[in-house]
Amino acid sequence: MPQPRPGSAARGIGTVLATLLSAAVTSWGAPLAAERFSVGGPNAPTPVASYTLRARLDSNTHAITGEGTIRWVNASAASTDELYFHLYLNAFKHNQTVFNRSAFTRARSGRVSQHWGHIDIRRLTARELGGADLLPHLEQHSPGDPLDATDLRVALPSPVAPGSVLTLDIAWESVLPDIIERTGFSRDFHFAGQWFPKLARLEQDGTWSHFTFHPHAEFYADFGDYDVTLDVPEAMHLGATGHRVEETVSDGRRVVQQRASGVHDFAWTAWPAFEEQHARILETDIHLLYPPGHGRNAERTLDTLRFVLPLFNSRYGPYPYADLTVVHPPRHAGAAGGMEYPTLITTGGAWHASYWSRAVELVTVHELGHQWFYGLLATNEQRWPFLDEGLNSYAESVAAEALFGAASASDLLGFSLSSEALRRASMQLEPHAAPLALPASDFVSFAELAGVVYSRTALLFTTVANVYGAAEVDAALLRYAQRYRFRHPEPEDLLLVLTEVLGEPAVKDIRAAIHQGHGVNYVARDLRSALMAEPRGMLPAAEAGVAPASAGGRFESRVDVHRQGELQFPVDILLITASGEHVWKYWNGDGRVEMVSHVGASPVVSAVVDPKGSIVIEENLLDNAVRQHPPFPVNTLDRLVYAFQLLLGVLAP
Amino acid sequence: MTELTWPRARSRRRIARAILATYAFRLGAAWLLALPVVHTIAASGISRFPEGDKKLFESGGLYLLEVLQREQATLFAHLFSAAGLLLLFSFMGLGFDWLQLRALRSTPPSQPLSSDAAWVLPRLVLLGALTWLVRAVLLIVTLTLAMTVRSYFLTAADERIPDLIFLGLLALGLLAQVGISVLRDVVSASLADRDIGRSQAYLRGFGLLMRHPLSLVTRYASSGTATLAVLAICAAVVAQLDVARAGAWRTGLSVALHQTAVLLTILLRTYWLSGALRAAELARR
Repeated sequence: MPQPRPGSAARGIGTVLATLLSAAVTSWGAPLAAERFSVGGPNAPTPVASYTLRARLDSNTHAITGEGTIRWVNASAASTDELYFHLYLNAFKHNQTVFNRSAFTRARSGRVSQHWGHIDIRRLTARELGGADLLPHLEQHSPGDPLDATDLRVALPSPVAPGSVLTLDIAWESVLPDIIERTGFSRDFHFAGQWFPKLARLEQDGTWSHFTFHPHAEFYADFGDYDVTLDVPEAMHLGATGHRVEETVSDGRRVVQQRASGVHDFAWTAWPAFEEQHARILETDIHLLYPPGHGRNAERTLDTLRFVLPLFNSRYGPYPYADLTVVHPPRHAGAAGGMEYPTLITTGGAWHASYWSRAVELVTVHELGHQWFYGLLATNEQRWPFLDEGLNSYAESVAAEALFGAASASDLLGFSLSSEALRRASMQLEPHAAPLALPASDFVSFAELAGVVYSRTALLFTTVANVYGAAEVDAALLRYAQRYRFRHPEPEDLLLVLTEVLGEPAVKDIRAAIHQGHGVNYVARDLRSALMAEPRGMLPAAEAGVAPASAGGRFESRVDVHRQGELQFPVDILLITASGEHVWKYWNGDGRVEMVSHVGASPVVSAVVDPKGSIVIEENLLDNAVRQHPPFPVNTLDRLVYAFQLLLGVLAP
Repeated sequence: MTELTWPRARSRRRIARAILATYAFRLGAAWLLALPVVHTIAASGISRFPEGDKKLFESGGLYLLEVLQREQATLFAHLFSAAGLLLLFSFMGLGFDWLQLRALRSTPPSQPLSSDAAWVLPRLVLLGALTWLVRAVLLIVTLTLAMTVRSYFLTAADERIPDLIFLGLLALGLLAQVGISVLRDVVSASLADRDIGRSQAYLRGFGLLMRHPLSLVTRYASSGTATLAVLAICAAVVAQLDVARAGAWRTGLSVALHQTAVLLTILLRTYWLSGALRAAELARR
């Protein structure tokens, strides 16, 4: 249950109302699938938007015709006289949609469909409103944007009071685009994501969280129960969100019924060439669909799941669903890969990827992590993408390190790369520090979003774990994941939990990075050493007991450590003397500069700020050290000379 | 073809000098190519750490990526200029190949070194340019063919099929490149013969390869395989050595291992060149 935030009385009241409403609305309907939570129990999902759908795929035209009912509960504290539908597939309707119109902000693939996709609602009536036909009230385009139809408003003839139920009878037709990102078809492969009219989410205060589908954005919806019957050609192998309750084959058609409780989306895939493996990990049935020739990738995927699913269970609370479907799309539909849906993830990679890289394992870890940071913690991915992608990238880094050690991202021919190294490289592609909590659509490019949302967030949490303790950060994330399970937490909810566990000093920096985009860089400068002079001049008499001691041939050394940027992580400073003595100093990070001094028999010849490399979010690691006589980089010379010697042999004409 | 045996009548000292000259040339050229990059890396700040540039070799590559990213503009500039120098040095290397061939001859050279060099080096440069041209054409043909054939199989349900066909065609292209290398060296050996013209030398080399493809390619391949083995062993030992760990001796040993490997690869090439020369000499008789 979300905790009320300090100074937010309105939200606090809203939360109480929501609690009462939750108890009311969870009393209807029995659980649809054998998930490991009890409806109405503690931390149980509140079904707000539930869908009972039946859909038929025409694999020749790539059209899906569907009909069904949406049972929606006004779980907010206010009446509403409107509904908002997200019709994401309309992003692929033409090249002037918000998704497609700019060549500079197009999504990850940077391409535009050649086969336009769209979704049209054909029938929309509301039972509780006297069967009113809502279709005439369905606006034809996104608010203020006549060329986009991904965010449609429906005016209701009468308001729906808090706690009231609205049952919508709906029929629609979707045409899938050729896959450029996540959803669509490629040859006879189909991946149906965002394929049905999807209600936006009504927040506790009665405002709708709705948005046009921006190429950088993902999704946001209410939890609900899904009962979906899919009718596809018989030859198709089918994978889908939830648990399969029935499958029949007749007249050349395969009809499959899937149910899922406590989820906020439903995706499915159908392809005749899929090969399948099934496994059981702990209490979860894994359904793995992959292309022919990907047997090794399939093994690696299952091995990874066997390691990471229990790990995530222990770190973020148990995976509550009975099923997990993993889809490895074929190469020609690679754009469907690397995506998360409730109880269904897509991975990716060439058939040979697992022979020489960790791509398959890492994408599996990342997408599985989304079952928590997106699936169970259903944050608004458009408004605060760092809450899902950022925290999940941190979770991925931790799991990858547990799985592979320091070479967590790659280990090829003796050359290893860690997740931190790659994330730093990504962060530095966009070196200006933007707030982590920016909406997805506010980033100027996907590269900037990746650098800030994925990489900087993960590096921030790694830094906090290194500085304040990994166990404390683990405890905080576990508490956050448990408290807001099946909820829709916001950045302040995360900060609240972090404050409870880590304390305000640590959270001050996290808050500044999240909301202000603050960063930090430590610089070591001006290492000086001098032989201390013997006391002389008009000194107090020795008998007064205040005469300074003899210098005794000792050296005074000093190095200035500067802090650039607003974050104030405490740091260790290592001083090394000419005799090899290691002297450790500590700076709590207060102030602009710390003058670090040492007096000893031997002068300091080298000083390093943060010698253990704890503050991985630092802007520049190379200015952390200062040394009196830097040596020539012999190791580099050795490797380069050797490489050029060999090249001269190879390139001889 | 008669058996390819190591020629007996020659001065071992002269061969050793030629090998050492080749090694010294490679070392000097590589040093010149590497130095600007090394200076850039030294200036990046990595040398100011107590561990020095050992940090670049730490597991995880954190500092290596940091340096590469922060210094990428300078490094790219150096690499572009190095590419031009590399081209020049590659051609200069022809002279050292020839020195070895000259030292390996079974009969003492009748002309002084400078006179011989002035006569043969232009021919070798022309051969080198032709070799590069043929290699480039072959590479383009191989890639075009491989990609075209692969595209016909892209609709196969098993994604391995087009990729394995592609790799198979690349392997054939590689074999053809090996054939060019063999031909080039046999022609080089023939070009050193002042009694025949340039075209005769080419024809002799081509004829030799046609008549004795198996023995020539086997000798070249055995030398090549041994070279690859030397490099692989060197890489494995240096990886185990792990220069990122403390101890200057690790750096010293790494340098020694690398330079030994280079010297061995030159020796293996000398072994092959002696075979090519012997074949050319037998053909002359």
